[in-house]
Amino acid sequence: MTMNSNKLRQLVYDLRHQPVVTWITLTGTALSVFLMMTVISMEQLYTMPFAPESNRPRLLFGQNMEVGFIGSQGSSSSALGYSPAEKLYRRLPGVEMEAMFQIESQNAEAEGSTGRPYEVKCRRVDHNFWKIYDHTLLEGRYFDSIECAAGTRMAVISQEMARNLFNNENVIGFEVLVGYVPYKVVGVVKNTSALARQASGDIFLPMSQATASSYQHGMLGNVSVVMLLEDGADKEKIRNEVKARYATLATELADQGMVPIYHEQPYDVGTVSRGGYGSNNSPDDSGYKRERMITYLILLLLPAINLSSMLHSRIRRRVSEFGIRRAFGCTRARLMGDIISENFVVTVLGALVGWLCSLVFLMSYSGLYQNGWGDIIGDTPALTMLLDWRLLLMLLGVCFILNIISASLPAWLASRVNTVEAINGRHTK
Amino acid sequence: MSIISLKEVSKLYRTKEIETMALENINLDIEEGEFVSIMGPSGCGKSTLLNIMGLLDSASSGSVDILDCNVGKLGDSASARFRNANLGFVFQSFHLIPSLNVAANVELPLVYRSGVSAAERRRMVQEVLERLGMSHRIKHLPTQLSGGQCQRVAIARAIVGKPKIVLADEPTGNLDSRMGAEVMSLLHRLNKEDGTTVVMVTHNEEQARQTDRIIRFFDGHIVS
Ligand SMILES: Nc1ncnc2c1ncn2[C@@H]1O[C@H](COP(=O)(O)OP(=O)(O)O)[C@@H](O)[C@H]1O
Ligand SMILES: [Mg+2]
Repeated sequence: MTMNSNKLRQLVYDLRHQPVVTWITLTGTALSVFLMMTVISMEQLYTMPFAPESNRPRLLFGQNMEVGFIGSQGSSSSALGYSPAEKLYRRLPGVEMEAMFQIESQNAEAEGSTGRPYEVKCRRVDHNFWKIYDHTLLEGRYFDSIECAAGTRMAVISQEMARNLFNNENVIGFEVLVGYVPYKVVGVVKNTSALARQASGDIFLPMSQATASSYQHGMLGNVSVVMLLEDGADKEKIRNEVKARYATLATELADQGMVPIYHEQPYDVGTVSRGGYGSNNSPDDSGYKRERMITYLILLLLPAINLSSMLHSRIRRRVSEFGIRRAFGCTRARLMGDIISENFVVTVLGALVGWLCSLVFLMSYSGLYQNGWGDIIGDTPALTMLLDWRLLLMLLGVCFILNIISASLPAWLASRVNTVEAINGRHTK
Repeated sequence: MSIISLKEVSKLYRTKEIETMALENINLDIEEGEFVSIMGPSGCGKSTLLNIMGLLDSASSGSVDILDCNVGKLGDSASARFRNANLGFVFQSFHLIPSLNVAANVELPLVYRSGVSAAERRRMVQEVLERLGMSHRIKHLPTQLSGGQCQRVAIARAIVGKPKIVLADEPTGNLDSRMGAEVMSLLHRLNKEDGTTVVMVTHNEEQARQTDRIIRFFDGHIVS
């Protein structure tokens, strides 16, 4: 299975003399790897840690709430009201701190001193949000717990918004209108990638009992909870505690004819980012995994079938050579091994092209909300991820599997041809 | 004991339409160091005989002993090893590998032999090409060579591993008479200098007369 310079030279000769087949083989492999890398990368981008979401592996989310009505089939669900959020998720054992915040940013219209209105992504967050997530503060400060609780009208905005709204970077103390309500700018943070699903935003406003929205007797609202776990905390234990608190809440609510319906909360970052469930049902993680496996399988099998027939026609014109090799002492097994290993090189070549494509694609995808190439090279999560040795190792694994699937049959057929017929260039199969 | 010994060897080709008895109860002994030529009209089974002696094909019945080994019983890898160690092949249409240069073509049998280092392979290739007067073409591709040169490279490939037996199926069939004579003298040198046993199929009476023994074939039988 070794590759020496002769084999490599022969491979290049072989590829150059069948340009069409070579191109189809290479683009086929590249396309397959590109698709697979993109799917995997998207998945990875949901869960890998990067600023400002460097704590992702240690986070759990109390995302939403469903309340049922006793004596009726109906129920109502959305993010939580402030007080049930506190009751269910405040000071859980194994949790270092928790923050109340809007897990999804909201579109709003903002206006600064330039007088030009901008459509912005706005998010209400409390003081702990700034501790759990690691934004980079460029100017000023974040709001503290007292200001938060008081519902003070202050805002932390992104660098880009400072430029857009004020044409200026020294904007501390300036007033920004968000939905026609004035807020005082107290801090400016560095822009964040839109891939930071839970922490990115243009404008951050204080979240508290006073500012949270509330309906359904305060049960529902716009509050979600993010919890930063202590090192080595047991997620199952925390879930069980939350479940117990649901039961307590249920007895409290019974008087009002309501019952909170438990949906396996709190979730980890992968579950939240993948979505695919509503506020009134439980995420189906095993179903999701099954779906993913089928996707990967299809992404592997379709091109493998194609590549297989490509390889078959590539080696057809070499039957005579294989016959000669057999005559001079090459065993069937060795012949098969040589064909497969040779094809592996082609697969890796195609995979490299596909990998480069996904690199370019993901860089432009995650480069949203980035300014200039400096930023992109510096801390684009996609780049860090695609250069990760584990991913590269996996890519090599994918090539290997793709190669085994596509090359085995043609190689076996080639090794089975009768030696004499092979030498004379006849192939019965 | 003969170096090649065939007893009651038959070969039956079966296709959907017809059955062809290519060899019928052949008994043949070839001694070590002999230069034997096989003659006969086209389709009489000469190549079939050579292929069976070369372990490239198997007999339908009968026994084949080469170097005191009953080769009919060998499995794929054992027979590959046996060919590699003891047999060299020369074909009418050379059958060089077009994508490999002269050195790599000649090296082929050594690649499949265990325990030969790359340096040693290079040395052996160099040596055999010098012997056959082809060392100045070592980097050429087969397409850059004349027919006679191709056949010389093919002979180099056949003997680089120092086999006991060389099987040549119409080695001069594709060459003009001058080049044919050159190839014949190479085979004779090989036979004289190294004591290699040569079995050659030919249509050329004059070439055949220069060998130790002529075996005449007709329709699957030895006639003389
Ligand atoms: N693979 C095969 N399948 C069927 N018949 C074959 C095959 N190879 C050879 N034959 C037949 O066997 C006979 C002997 O062929 P061959 O040994 O090639 O003859 P020669 O080399 O003397 O010209 C011929 O009639 C030929 O048609
Ligand atoms: Mg013949």
